[in-house]
Amino acid sequence: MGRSVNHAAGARPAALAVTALACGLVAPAAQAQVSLGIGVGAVASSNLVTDSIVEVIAVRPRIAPQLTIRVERPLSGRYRVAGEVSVSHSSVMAHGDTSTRVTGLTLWAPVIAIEAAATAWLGAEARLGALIYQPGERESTLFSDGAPIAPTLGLGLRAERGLTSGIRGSLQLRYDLHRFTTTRLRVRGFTGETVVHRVALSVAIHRGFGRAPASR
Amino acid sequence: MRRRPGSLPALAAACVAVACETAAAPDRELAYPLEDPRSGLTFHWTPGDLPVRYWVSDDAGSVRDFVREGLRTWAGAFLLGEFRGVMVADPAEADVLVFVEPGAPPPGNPTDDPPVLGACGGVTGYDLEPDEDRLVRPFRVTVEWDSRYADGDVVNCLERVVIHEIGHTIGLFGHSSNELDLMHANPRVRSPSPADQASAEVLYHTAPTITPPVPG
Repeated sequence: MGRSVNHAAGARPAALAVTALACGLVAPAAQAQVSLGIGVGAVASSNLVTDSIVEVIAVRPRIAPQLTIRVERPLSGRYRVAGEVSVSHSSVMAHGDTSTRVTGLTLWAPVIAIEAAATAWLGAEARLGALIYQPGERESTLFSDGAPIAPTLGLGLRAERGLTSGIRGSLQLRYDLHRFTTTRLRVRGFTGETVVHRVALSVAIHRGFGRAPASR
Repeated sequence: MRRRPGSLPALAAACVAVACETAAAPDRELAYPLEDPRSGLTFHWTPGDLPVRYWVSDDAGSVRDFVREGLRTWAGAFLLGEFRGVMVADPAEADVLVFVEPGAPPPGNPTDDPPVLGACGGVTGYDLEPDEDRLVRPFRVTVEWDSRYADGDVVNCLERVVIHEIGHTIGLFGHSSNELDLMHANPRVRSPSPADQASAEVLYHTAPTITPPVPG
């Protein structure tokens, strides 16, 4: 009982923030300088670890739902700069002869991106950020001595179109990579790191705020 | 600037090699037999059994702390969530019962001093369904201590023996011939050695011949 009350209390500020953001996004807007966006999608990851205990075991997160909040503003010419934070949650699974759940995993991904417009509706971006691992259970797992924060490098493509005055909708495809290991893996004799690849597909809406010269 | 022939494929190959980099897993070798030396059977808990529930008798004194320490230290032997144990208050709900004879041992904290042989001992037993290799709940662990020994010797001995017996309850039925392993018949060390950890991992990725008990 106490636990569910705590969850509700913790969830309320986040829910209010998302609601306020959504209200702000659908309100009328003038020509925009800074824009605020919210997106939903899914992210898939390659293996975090490949182990061999009697059988070969691949450890990776399940495809996870992802929520993204993004703020961007135009730079000179056809460029934009953006800051965004994504959060996703799924289970880490160990796949051998059978598949078993290792732990729940929340991933926070703050990113800075520079986007270049290729056409009126298509943009490409370079992304630099971090991936913060937040496992649900640590005991008996590869995260038992702590979870990593890994720098990420990525690329993205975005197709967008105006929906109403000041509001744009977009479809985004992102790729990033980072190097993964944990303290526990090193203690247990693992050497080196695994390069982890992630691909995310999402849809988003963006609303502009403030006046600015048309940049695209 | 002229590019040397073959430099582009070499660069591409280097990129692919970096992109496919994987942490190298250590070898896990079985350090001692997994089978019960009397029955020749093997056992481990399955994901549906977790967390395994341990009950400790009310008059156990510091043995309760040693059981808790044993659960933590054995859970730390795994990377993929194969084993987790918790303490429960109701013996009817337990998968493992722990008794202490002749009651609460003398108080005190264990040290790194080698334990004195004979100050304590332990035994772990289990029952199978008639004509069936299915475990009947619960495991029964009994640890005994001898009041003729100094308090410090009893405490040091009990800590090792309790964690050793917890090792039997996770399924490590055999004994190691290496006295630096916790699963040596006369345990000297305070926590699982790398060989203990590797043996536990191999056990949990090997099909058991004893089926876990029917839930309930």
